[in-house]
Amino acid sequence: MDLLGNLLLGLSVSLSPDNLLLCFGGALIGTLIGVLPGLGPTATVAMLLPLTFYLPPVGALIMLAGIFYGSQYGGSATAILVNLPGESSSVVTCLDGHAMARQGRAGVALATAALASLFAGIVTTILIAVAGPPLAGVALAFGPAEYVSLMLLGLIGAVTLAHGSVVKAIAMILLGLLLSMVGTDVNSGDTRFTFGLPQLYDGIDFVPLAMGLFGLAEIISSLEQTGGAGQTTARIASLWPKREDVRQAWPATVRGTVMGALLGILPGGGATLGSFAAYSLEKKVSRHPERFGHGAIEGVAAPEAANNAASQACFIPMLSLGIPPNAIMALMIGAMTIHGITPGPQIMAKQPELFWGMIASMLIGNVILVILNLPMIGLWVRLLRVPYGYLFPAILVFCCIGTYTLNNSGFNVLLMALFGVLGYALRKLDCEPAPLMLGFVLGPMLEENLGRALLLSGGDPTVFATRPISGSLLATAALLLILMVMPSVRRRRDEAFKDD
Amino acid sequence: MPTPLHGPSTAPRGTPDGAFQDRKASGGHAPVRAPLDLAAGLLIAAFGIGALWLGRDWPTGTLASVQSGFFPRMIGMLMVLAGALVTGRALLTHGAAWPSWGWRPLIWVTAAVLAFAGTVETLGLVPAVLILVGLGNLAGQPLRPVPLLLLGGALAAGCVALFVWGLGLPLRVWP
Repeated sequence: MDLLGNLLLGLSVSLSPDNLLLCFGGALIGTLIGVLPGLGPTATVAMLLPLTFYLPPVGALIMLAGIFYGSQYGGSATAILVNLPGESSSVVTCLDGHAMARQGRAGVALATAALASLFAGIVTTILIAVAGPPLAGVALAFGPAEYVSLMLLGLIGAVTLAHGSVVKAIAMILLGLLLSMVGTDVNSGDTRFTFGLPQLYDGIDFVPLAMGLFGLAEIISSLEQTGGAGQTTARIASLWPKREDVRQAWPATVRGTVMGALLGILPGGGATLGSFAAYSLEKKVSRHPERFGHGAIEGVAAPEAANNAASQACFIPMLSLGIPPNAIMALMIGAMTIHGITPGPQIMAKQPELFWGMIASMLIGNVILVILNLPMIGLWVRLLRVPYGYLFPAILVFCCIGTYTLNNSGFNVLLMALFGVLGYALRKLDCEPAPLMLGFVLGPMLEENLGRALLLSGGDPTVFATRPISGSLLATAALLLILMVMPSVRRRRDEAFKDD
Repeated sequence: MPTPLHGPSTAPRGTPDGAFQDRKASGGHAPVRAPLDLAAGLLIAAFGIGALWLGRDWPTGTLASVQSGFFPRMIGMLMVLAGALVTGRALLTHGAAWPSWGWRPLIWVTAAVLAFAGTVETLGLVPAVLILVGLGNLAGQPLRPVPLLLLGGALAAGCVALFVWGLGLPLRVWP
């Protein structure tokens, strides 16, 4: 069987000692940083990106994927132990997870989260392996017009399924597109938005932007909220779920996995929507919905399975179409570009060991994560008690050096500081920086394909609507936008993001 | 917001930050129904106008062969439109109040990073890290001098070990 052969190829790549070590290291460091309150997966991946510059491409991507799911798991640990969601996808885990922790069942909650994530991770990885190649086959038939429409659908999907104001999110995408134009235009050689600074002729580097918007801005926000004190964490008695717990948790895990995987493939879906949807589904199907919020184990298992499934399902559009469905995948694409890899349908054919190696490493990484985390929970708890006053200078140092060593330029550090201020201001103004990142990554591709599609059609803008695939993608995007504007849908969307 | 809002307020539209804060605290009414959205809308529109102004002389070409000015102008116009929508809605409907800003962490974190950017090339890695940690320390509850020195020293040593010895990066270490 082809799938099996491919997976075996992938396993042979990812089980090589080097890559296994990188996968392990990524998951460990990712968890380490992800556990720190206020640093979600996006910030963690952004901050640790420079660590992977000195690795071969396959190793770098395996490590980044490890960092990513490690930080996702670390975020759940913080949510359960101190009731602080590291990022939006672990908000719902706080509800029942921390309630369990208050009842002295923090260990059980953490183990449930880890095991539910493991199950979801394995199922979704297989889904990626099955669904990726056919999707890439479709994408190979795409021309520039189809790519433009697909990107528009991705961007619109990303803003409609995220929460907050749709117009503001669109504005953030546009700002990202503007930032992506800084530098020399590849077609004409004209410089744009450089303010005469030679350091900007090559465009804005991806790392200072991501680190500023996510890393620095999150440090500033956390300092504002906590003032730098340590956290009081719940105690951990026993780790192992009782038989009764398992009986309640496993159907919830399966439902959460399905929900998360489905929502994760959608552009903009991602982990947050998955976990919220899975939580409300559990509440609906439960015979005792009143238990939720008071330490129901299903309320931990389902959203944790869903956010892990969704965050891995995001890899499907990223790897097979080259279109990032959310900010983290945009970071992954940025990392691939730094290594000279163009994500998209050609990857699977041209670099099978890269594609399949990465997928197989996800299987291994999920297992490593459980082996790593269950015995080390005590260590994470201790780390959480370290006052933030000691931690954040270390994080700052890391951000600065990572950005500086990009090409030994203080200018990039300066840019990072500016984007930190911008990111903090945008957050205060209720403008999410994630769509900005998407726009920034997709900008050059969008501009190039837009120009090419118009050139091929002889300047006829209707080409986007008249070509069948392109037209139906655009129609879907338009439908999504119209749905969003309808008041009844809006109300339901707002309800879906309420946390009770 | 509990109190009904009406017409143009006679209250002075002073500095955004403190003024809104005080009014919210004293239960009076703010001059704008959604100050936060108003600011967001104006900021978005300003970015759009800035882009249009900077790109005013760039050639747009024709649809059949677009030039370097086409995309910036298109995005700039869309941003102005989006900014106008947000601003307009902020003037018509109720929205979130002006948030409080964490000036202290914002200023000191930014200052620390800028200081690092300015010193790492001229003074070298170790002094730059020490300055970064020293200034950054003011962003939260400051540590006492001894722990602060230990932290700075440990971080500087760790950076030299990891980046200079470990990864072999060509970094200047001392002034």
